[in-house]
Amino acid sequence: MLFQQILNGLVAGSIYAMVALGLTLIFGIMRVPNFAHGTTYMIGAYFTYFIIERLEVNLFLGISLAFVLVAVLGFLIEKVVFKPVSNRSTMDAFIIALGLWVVMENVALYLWGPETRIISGGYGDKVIRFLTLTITVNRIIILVGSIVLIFAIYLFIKKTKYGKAMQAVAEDKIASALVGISPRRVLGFTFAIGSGLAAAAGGLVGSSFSIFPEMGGMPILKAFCAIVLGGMGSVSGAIFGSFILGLAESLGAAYITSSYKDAFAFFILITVLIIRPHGLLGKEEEERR
Amino acid sequence: MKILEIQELTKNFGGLCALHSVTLNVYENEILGLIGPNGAGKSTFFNLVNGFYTPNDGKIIFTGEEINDLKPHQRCRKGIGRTFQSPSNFGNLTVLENVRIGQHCCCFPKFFPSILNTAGWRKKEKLAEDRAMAILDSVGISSWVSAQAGSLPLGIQRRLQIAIGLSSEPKLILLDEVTSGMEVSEKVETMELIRSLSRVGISCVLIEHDMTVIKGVCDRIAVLNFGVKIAEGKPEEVVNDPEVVKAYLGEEDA
Amino acid sequence: MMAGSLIALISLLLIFPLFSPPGGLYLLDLAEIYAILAMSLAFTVGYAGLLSLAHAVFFGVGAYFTGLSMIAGWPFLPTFFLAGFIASLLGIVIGFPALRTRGVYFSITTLCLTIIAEMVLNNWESLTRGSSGLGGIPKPDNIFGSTGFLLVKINSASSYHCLISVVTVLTGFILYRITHSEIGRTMIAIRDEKKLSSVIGINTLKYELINFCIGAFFAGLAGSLYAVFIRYLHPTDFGILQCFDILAMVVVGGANSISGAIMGSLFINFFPELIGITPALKRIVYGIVIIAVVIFMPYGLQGLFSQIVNKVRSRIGLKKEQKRAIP
Repeated sequence: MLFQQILNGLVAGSIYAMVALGLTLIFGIMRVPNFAHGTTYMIGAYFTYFIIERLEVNLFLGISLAFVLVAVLGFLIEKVVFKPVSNRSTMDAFIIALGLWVVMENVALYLWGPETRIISGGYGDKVIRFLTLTITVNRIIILVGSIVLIFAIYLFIKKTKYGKAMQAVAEDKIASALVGISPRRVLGFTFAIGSGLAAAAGGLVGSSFSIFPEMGGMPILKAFCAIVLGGMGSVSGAIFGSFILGLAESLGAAYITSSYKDAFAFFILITVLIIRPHGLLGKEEEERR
Repeated sequence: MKILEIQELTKNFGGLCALHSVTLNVYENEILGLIGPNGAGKSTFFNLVNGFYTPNDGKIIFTGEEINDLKPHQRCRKGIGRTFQSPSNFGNLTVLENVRIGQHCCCFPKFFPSILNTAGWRKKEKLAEDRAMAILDSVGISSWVSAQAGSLPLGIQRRLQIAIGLSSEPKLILLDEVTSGMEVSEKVETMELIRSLSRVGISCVLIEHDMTVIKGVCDRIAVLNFGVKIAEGKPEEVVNDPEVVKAYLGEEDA
Repeated sequence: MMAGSLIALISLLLIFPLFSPPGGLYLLDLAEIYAILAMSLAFTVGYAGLLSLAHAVFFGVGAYFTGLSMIAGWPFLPTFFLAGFIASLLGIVIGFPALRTRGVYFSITTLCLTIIAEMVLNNWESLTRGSSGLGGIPKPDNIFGSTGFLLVKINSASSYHCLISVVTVLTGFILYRITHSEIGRTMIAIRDEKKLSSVIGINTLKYELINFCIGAFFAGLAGSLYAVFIRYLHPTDFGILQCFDILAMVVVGGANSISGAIMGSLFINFFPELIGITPALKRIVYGIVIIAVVIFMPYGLQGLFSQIVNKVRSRIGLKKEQKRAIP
């Protein structure tokens, strides 16, 4: 039983991590939490669904295609919506992000209706019996799939030139510009990668769990909670925070109360924001005048 | 009589030591200059005295009372005033309103009288306004009373800075590079203004880069370099101190 | 500017019932209730610089409090004022910790609180009837209760309109007085330059808290009116969707402006009706409008209005009104 809860926690954590990675990178550069990011997760799920249904390809190809499509969408969103306010206060960008969130969610609602869907041919019911434990295959798929993707992106960020550029801009925009890295271009690229990753997460989740227009809402808030825990702008922090959050939620729901399960994340978030605004692992940003 | 006593003040930012064990005194009615190369820790010093930073070690004692635990607005109420380089004033308000805001320390608006605009409140307002006009007069900008603070020429802005700093009726005022960007004639006027402050009983600590201003106005000077106090004393002594000369690498503002 | 807007508003409110189409009065009254809510948010956003996403919670607390107490037989007027006070108490409770966070983090903290509050409203079935909604709230037949000496009956559309309009105009007037007083100027100073304000002796936390509570108070009043007007309460009316709607009204009207909030509310509530779009598209339009306004028209309708007025003024030779801190 405990193992089941831990596994559930890890699975949830890995989903949050995929959404959180994009969020933390975007935050690191824009200094604004892009709340519209959750909709890329949702759109990824829908795109995967339609690609698999219409083109009849397997799950992984479907997810990969959705990744690419949503990455392009993310890039366009940055250019069209966020660029005009890039020189203004962060509050403006925040309000725009909220507006975008509502627009995308309601467009999805309008286009695809409120009924939940699920990608057929998913591994929905299959289970594996391992020692004395019963594990559903879909959870394994999500966990493995997301860990692979997270690892891949992590390597990309740490090892490749583009990835390092993204990190550099997230850490210090001005210094990066001085050495010739254009923050604007990097931002567009970051949006693309982050959105694609969230889309893949959506696709993975959609293969076993339900797809509906509002599905991005909770994950984005939880992902934000995760990056606050782990330190905003930090890649490893985002991963760390996500898994901690997933586990805390799962164990809390099992052993304390389940009707307020979602509230755990928010309580944690509020507490951290109030007590240690720079996150548990974040560096203390003293204002040097 | 010491108005401000700084004992062993230390401030670290992560691995960087901005201020290390600085001990300094400011006496009543004196004008103390605080100089040092860029990055020496002068602004950090002001921020610590103000209450924006918490020291890692050391005590700040104002008029005999330890104020380490007081918040910035509480320190102002005790009698510490300050100017900022930027932002230096409330851009969206007029010059007069800027000074009126600063009078919060002593002319605290009560909620309902202020909203209902009672007769009692109007009387208080008039008194406060007269006092504000007097302050504007003393710094020489009363003709700019209704101008918007955000669109002032630099010299006037600097004087408004000082006016705002004075509006809370401080016993000690921290002046942060108030002559920067000024022309020579404006600097001379400002120097006279600062001297007049000490004559009416307000002590001043000045951060300045212009040595003419420092030599012309200060009773004593303290020098910081890399967060450490390397010299303190009368201007003539300090200026010729070999340590100080080395710190500035031989350059001296004309 | 504000005085002019208020006069225009009062005239509009008085004349409207005479020529409105059926259902138009209902819509106007609803718009007015939201205008009170929007003004309360605009006060916090514009004069404390805090983008609060918790005003829907204050709205909900006011609404449920009045709803439940009216069902229990209380007269309207006491519950109306109590709704405001309870909301402002909640404002202190929420504000005190939340104000330790700054800027965007404050908004997120309040957003989380709204979500938690919506969850509580849904789950606390014994009190709020949960997701089946709280219905059957009686009309405030006699706002002073059966022993009142001014037996004002609120049972017809026009008397509802009077009640709501009076509250709306009073709210606008009170907020106008506050913002144009020394208190208001202090809040602007804090909003614009927090560090400088604290250095000259202003206790910034205290003023932000006062602002937040005042906003909560009026949001609670709006909720109270909502309860007796719609007479059916459902938790989703007081959650993040509602927050977003109020935000849309404030942004469209001009984020720093009380009078703008009124314009914004009228716009957001009437515009969908005027162009005849379905409710599904409504929010899409709101979202696009918010984005467009922030990008292209940051001062909102209020800003547009000022520009037009200034143009007219210079045409007829009057001095242009200087861009002031207080619109």
